[in-house]
Amino acid sequence: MWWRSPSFILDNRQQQPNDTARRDALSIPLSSPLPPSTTMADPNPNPNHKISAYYQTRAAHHGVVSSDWLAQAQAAVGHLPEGDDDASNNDQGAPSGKPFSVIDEFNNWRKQPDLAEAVAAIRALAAVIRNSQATTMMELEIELKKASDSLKSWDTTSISLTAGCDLFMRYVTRTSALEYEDFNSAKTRLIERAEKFGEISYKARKIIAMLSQDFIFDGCTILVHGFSRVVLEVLKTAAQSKKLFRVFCTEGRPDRTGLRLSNELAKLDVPVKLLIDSAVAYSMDEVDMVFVGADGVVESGGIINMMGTYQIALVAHSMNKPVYVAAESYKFARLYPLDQKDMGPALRPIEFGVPIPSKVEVETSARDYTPPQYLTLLFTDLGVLTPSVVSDELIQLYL
Amino acid sequence: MPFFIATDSFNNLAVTRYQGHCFAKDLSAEGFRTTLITDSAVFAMISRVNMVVVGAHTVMANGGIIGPVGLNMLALAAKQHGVPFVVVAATHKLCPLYPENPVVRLNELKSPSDLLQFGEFSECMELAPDSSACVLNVVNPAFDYVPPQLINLFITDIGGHNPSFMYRLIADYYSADDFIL
Repeated sequence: MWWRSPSFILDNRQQQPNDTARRDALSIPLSSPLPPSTTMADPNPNPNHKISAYYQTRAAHHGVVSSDWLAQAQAAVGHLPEGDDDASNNDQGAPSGKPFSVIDEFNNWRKQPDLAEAVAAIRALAAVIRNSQATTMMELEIELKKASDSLKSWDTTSISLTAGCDLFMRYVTRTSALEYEDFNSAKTRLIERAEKFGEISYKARKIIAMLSQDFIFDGCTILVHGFSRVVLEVLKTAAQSKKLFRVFCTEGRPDRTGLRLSNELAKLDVPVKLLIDSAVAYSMDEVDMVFVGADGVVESGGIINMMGTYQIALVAHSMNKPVYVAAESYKFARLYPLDQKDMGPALRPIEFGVPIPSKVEVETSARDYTPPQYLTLLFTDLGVLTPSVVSDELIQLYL
Repeated sequence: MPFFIATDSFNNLAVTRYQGHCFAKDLSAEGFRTTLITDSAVFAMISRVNMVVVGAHTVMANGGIIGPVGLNMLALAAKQHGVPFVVVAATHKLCPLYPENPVVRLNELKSPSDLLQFGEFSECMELAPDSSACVLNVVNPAFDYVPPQLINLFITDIGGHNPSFMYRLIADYYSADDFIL
């Protein structure tokens, strides 16, 4: 935790060439055509792997229009017709000229803003099984493994993607169907399990919403951080069952998730108050509970979530307010961060609206780690869990 | 030879107060040196105590307990002075609910006559001539919730465990379908 590299100058030197490359890419004016670095060969719209595509997508789906978003939208529009062609080609049948690409299938699913990234990956992997030309079980498993690896390497910063792929592999192959002599029936069984896993993951949000209804009582004040579709589902269900509550949303710089969330909640007639991120401690005494989603749940029972979650959990803990986390079970990852910097970097460029002198560094990490002692309960599709139960559930899921 | 200190209103659900007195009498009948104190004297005497042993009405899914009123105060005093707080509870007391659930949080309120005789109460009624509602409110809650952070050890009929383990016993003894009836 206290480790600081004594050679931060060296680190800086290593970073600088990347930074200059990145700044050049970002300074391309909006009116220019597609940046030349995006090609079909590398479907990840941002070839600089330090910038997390996961967070870029989330911003694209949920953020207010910013110049980054516009650039991305242009890139996406450039991809869209080709993406559709691929999909239609695949649907028409097996003997298509283009080989089946799991990344393309994944991108198709991912474009729907309501679908979680891991669920899109699970559906893409299910499609791999369906479209596979393998004749033996070993071959099929190898194909699946390759597809899963390529999905994982598409964005190494996304925890739920990695965890979702791993869990899919285990769920699907952990069946006695693999002992069948007849390959086709075994394959059918695998497809069934894959679809079922996809269904479970898709329905996870509804289950979580149902479980958390007991904890929202009439007249309560809920503080929400980040735009989590699960938390939105929870609040939607509570509003629809005519519960009276109000919500405080943090602004959520730089993605401005709070603005989007407050929009959605206003549509449900839920009283919403927007807070800037710094106003959380100021308003914490009026709050009855804190609700956040998670990008990943780690082995210690802590969570990895949007930057600012740790801060809010600390404040809530010091004032004895419960912190509830809503996370689907496919987000449980085999990770154990020991401190904030112990995870792979996931950087998200922040724009301040005014030019910053080049000597000034900006902390661009998009996520932080909240240790389990600051969390009260986790709502998952496996049930309501205390943080100490997470490692147990992880063992059951993975082994 | 252990010394025991029994507090005044240490009581089980159904019976009136002075259970602490009965318990103190039972203990001295067994031959233990017992000291009886009131609930309010807990903080004053806690520094003389090596260990706190209590029973519970229920054990919740997060490892907290529901016990007779006044238990939370005792647990806080013990925590403040670093005294181990041990709960003795058999597995039939396990409950799969969480205390944040409002159904659980509704405390049972017992008859206020334990605190204030009806005769004295009727005198207070006359003090507010205009309103029909009495200015004096008497509340007699039956239960207290003690959070798991204040509990050091659970002793059950199948062994000693720490509070973060209690969920496992619940999963062993309750089917997931029976959590919410």
